[in-house]
Amino acid sequence: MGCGTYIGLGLSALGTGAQMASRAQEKGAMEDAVKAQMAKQKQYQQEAASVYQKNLQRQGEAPATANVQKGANQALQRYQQVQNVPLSLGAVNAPKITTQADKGVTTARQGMSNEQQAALQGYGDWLQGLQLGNVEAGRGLGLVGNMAQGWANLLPSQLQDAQQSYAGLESLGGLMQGAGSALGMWNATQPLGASTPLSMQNPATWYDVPRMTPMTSTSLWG
Amino acid sequence: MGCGGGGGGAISQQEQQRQDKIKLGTKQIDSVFSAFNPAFYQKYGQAYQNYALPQLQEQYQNVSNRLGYRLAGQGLGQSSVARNLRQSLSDEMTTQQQNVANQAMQQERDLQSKLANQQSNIVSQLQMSADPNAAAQQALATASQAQASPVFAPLGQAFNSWANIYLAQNQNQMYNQFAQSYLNNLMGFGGNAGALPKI
Repeated sequence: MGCGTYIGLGLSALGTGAQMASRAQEKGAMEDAVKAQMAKQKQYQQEAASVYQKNLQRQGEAPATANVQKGANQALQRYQQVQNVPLSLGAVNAPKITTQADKGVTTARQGMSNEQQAALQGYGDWLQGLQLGNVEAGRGLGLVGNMAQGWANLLPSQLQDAQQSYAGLESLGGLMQGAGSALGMWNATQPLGASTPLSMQNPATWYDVPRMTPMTSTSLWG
Repeated sequence: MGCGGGGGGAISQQEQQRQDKIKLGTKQIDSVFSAFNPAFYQKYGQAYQNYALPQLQEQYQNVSNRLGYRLAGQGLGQSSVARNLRQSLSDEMTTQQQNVANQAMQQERDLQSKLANQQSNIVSQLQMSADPNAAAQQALATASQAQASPVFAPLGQAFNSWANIYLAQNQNQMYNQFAQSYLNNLMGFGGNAGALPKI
């Protein structure tokens, strides 16, 4: 083999090395892209969890009891407000409750009825609060989901980008390999000179195998 | 990184811009809808009460007058029947007043749900369009629509049911009393035609 062969082999080895380095870099870059994407998704997951937890806190037993009571109180106030509006129209013939005993009975009946109705309304108020909370949480989760999805949609493109970021080095490696092979091939087609290490003596063709001179005692000892 | 690439960076930048627009639009929508606070809904409910209560009072007055005329006509103005009927009418009025208040609260809840859903719809559309200006305009249009004078359905005949039961019952009682007295008188069982109840 000549000098060209060695250079060719060296070039091929360098090219392979460059290609291997490029693939390792690509792999690292793709892993980085995936890690960055996972970190972003984790951040959105935490945001979503916060929205969900906020809504969940409104749904426990203690807030439910408090909200039912609050709704009942508001309804009771509303009933009293409505019932305190004076009946302004004059009514000459309208029957009126005149005795104190009857008035007391009427007031008591009204109070009891108000309380029962208000208790029912308290549940309505609580359910309304839950529904509004769910709508709000759904809106918040929708937003977070949209943002997370937006970044997730970029992952294929980011991976492709990472893959292509070391394409230059890989191409260079390929070129070096190609050049090395070509040089080796070219070198092999050249007639072998005296400088060849195995001292082939003028072979008839390039595929002639080197012939060994038979060893005899004469040739050994002169 | 190494050589080549760079397209992903531009896409990331575009996505960041899209998300910034959505965040801006969401803030604008929230700002518009922040006007719909508990005080606003209470005012809305009060508007319903102000609309419905005079109607209820008028109906009460009518039915009360009818009852008064009937009892007076029958000479039962101070009777136990009158006392019971007054109590019954008073109970009915309490129920109807509660109904008005309940309706007012329901109107508030309905409006609250409607606006919450509309807000969600606008936010959903913003997510698709990433156009904060359009979203803000839509939110403003919705808000002005909600703040316009509400149109409520008129109160139905609140005392119909009570009148059908009690006034008709009272009339039946009177009719039965009259028929019994008439028959007694006719058959010579000592009835007194002068004591026949007037209808």
